[in-house]
Amino acid sequence: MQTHKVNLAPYLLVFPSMFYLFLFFGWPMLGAVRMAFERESQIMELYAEADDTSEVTGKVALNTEVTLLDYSLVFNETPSGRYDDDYWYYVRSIDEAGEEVEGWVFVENLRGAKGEGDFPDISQDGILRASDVEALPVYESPDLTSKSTGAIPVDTRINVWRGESQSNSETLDWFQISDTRLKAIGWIPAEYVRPYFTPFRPRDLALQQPTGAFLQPTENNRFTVYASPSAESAVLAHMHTDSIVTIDDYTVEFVVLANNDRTRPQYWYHIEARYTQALDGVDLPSATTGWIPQSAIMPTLRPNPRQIGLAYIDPAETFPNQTLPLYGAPTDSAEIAYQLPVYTQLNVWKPILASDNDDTIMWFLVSDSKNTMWGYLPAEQVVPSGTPTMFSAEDFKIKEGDNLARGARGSGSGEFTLNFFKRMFNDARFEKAIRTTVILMMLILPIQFVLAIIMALILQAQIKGNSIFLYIYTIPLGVSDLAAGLVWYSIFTQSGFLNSFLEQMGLIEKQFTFIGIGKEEWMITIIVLAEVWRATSIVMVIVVSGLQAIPRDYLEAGELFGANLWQRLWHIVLPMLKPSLQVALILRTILAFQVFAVVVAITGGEVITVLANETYRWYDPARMNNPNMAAAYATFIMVLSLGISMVYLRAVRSQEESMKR
Amino acid sequence: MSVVTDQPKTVVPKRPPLWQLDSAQRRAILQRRVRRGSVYVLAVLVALWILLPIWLIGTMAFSTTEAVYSYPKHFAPIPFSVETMKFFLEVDGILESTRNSIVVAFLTLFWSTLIATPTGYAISRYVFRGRNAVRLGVLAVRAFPVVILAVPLAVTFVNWGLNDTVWAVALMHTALTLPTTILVISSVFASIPRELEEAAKVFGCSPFEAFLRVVFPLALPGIAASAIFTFVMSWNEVFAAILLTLDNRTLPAEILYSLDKASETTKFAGGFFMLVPSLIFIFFIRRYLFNMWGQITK
Repeated sequence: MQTHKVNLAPYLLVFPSMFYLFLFFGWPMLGAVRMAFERESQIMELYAEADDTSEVTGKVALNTEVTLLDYSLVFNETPSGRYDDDYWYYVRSIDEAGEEVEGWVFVENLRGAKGEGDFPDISQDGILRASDVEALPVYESPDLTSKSTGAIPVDTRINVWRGESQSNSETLDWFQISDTRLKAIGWIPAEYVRPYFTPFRPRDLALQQPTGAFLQPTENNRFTVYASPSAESAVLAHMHTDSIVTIDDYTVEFVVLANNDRTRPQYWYHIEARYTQALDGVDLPSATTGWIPQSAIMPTLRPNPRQIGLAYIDPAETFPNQTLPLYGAPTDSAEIAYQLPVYTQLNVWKPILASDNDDTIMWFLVSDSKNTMWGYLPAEQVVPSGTPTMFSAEDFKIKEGDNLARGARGSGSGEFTLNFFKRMFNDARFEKAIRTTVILMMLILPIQFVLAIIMALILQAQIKGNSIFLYIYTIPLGVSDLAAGLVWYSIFTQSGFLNSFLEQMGLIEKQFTFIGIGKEEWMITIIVLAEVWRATSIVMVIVVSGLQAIPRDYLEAGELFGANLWQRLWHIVLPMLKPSLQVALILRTILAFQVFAVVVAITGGEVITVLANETYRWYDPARMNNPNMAAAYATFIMVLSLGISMVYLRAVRSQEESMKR
Repeated sequence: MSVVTDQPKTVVPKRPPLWQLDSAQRRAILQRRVRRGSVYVLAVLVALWILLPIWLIGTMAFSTTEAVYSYPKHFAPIPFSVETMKFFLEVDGILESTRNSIVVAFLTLFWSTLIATPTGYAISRYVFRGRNAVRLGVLAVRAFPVVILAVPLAVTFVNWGLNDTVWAVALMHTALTLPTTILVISSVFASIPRELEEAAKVFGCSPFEAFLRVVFPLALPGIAASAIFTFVMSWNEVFAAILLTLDNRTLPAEILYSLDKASETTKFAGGFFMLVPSLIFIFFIRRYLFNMWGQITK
């Protein structure tokens, strides 16, 4: 006899699957609803001004793409008297409700298109230039009448933050500048601001020290080492061309060609040469240091540290047609060899440090690009070529193609919102999707049910070969919607089977297009065919189980009373099948909301769209990348399905009751 | 448990030859023949409706690439060639995604069967408080679309660091197939007479031994059939797979994702390739299919 002790066994057996279903079914379902109604726990706010106490003009979900339109700098004074530079960007983006919003965002709330901190680099280094004053005032705004906020000494390096064109009577560029230590900040007219360029450093012209080289073979395997970089200087030694040679210095000699006035630069290399093998019968030194001409070294191994520069005087545009003296030696007391126009392109050969009245000044050995003029210039008159000579306000604009970022940080916590649903209902594709889904449902279901009943009755008739038919009729149970879509695509595509058949039959002249823009009716027809083909078997199986539950006596009684096939079907079979059909109907209706891969396979999912496809489109990181909107769609589908499931469950119960009777 | 083929045949008494019958009887027999014949015609037409599209895509899959792009198309794979199929299998990502699909399907099959078997047994064997709730719950879950689960689960898996793995897809597919598997397995257990189990207990088996030695071996074919069906469901599933994966796509997800850039050969061969397991598996489990789907409606 059983006691009233509760048997735990069934609960333990049921637990794993209930737990699993809770974890991966119940919980995510709640998650979908939460995602659909709760805005991202962090929202990036856009402000009316570059100030987070100003009015909020829009709210953008994190990770939404924003377009940087403009920027501004806010300098906050720190207790130490210095300023902090804070970038603010004026951005345009799309908020949750799908509307375009614009406003200011603090730089730290943004993430560059490629990653953290990856922003267009806009500020530049400059230098202040002015004759006859020691410091220049900077102004609060780009206007000479505005308050002066400080002064910055001339000839010092500055940061140029922003440019702006003021067009009063004449267009005038202004720059927002600061000293590099951010102690004085303000606006100054463009005429005083020059780009700061990094001059050539001796390192740029240095050899990769020390560099090895091989020598050019000569007739008698000898080469000459000179005491100084000139062929006329003393010969230190003759060495064998198999010597090991290390180059540690160089200089350039300009050789005047005999037949015309042109000169040719020739490198001389200072080397150290060693030779260990004694040559038969000849007494050669085993090591020496000295100068050799470039011709002694194999052509491809000759070091050539030459750089391209520009002869430059500051400020050049105030002295048009200015020339620079090119000295014959690295000192300004030397004779002037040539007058070089400013902006002449230069070959920069070698840096030379020259002591001049206790001051060490750097000079460069330069020549013009044709090497007809050569001499020495002080370092400040040589700039790397490509250096801009003036800034314009345009240099401080955010450039197209370099202006994308995403929201990275925000404020606020989870907040109830209907924005996602608003956006969904306002979406043009939503209406299309729901219309197509409903049309498909209304076309597919009746055809499916009629066909399924016919198939079930055929199987029930127990004709010969029944088991083969049974197998064939159940094949579609295992066919995926994607495969079904591709199967029917192969039939209806432009050069598909249907066109082939029709043309061979002589029914059409040329290929008929079934799938394409403007062929919506045809595409829907194909989807209906594919779905009927694929999913009728499920209905059929349900109907067959329903048919088996009908007692044979009923049908026999009907036959006895002279009812024909049609009458028996209509008055006995169908009423008895009602519960099964209800169940199948509800199951198919719910599954109809999931139609997805068939549609994509046949139509591509753009011209014709359905609810599930929209869900995917919103989720897809490569397209909308908005999981909340996808969740809104999912919730919408869930509500529809839930309503139908209620009916479903009631139908199940009524079926169970009718079974008991 | 009853299967269509199991139905008892009505025994037709041997009738005399046609010429010995009167005209009314002859008419009745002819009428029956016509009816039988028309049922046959109908049965064959429906069979053709199902088979013809499969034949056509099979034709494409086993034609030369040239034939695939030709027009008008042949309606049989003449000349027969594996060129198109080979081309499809060599497309970048197909083999990897096929492997992913197989791994996912096996993981799903394993988890789903493992978790569903005890529940199926409990539902079929025990009468306990809440049994109906469990059954109805499972039924209700069965009816829910994958679409609503995939989105939040994808986000959850990202947080768990599981996104874009076969594990994520397998966990999801297990949740999707579990209700069906539970119902089918419970119907399998229900079809095994309780008396056998009780007899085993009488002969000294513990309940667990009775299950393991008597019930389980009898249920094994049915459980295997349900496992195969689980495999097919996972192999076919595309929506969850495409949401949960980016680089480690399953085969349907890979094919769907690359549809707009895919050549016709890939589409046709891919369609056929995805069909093949279904054709084979359905053949093996056809006897059980009615059980499975019949049960779902009850």
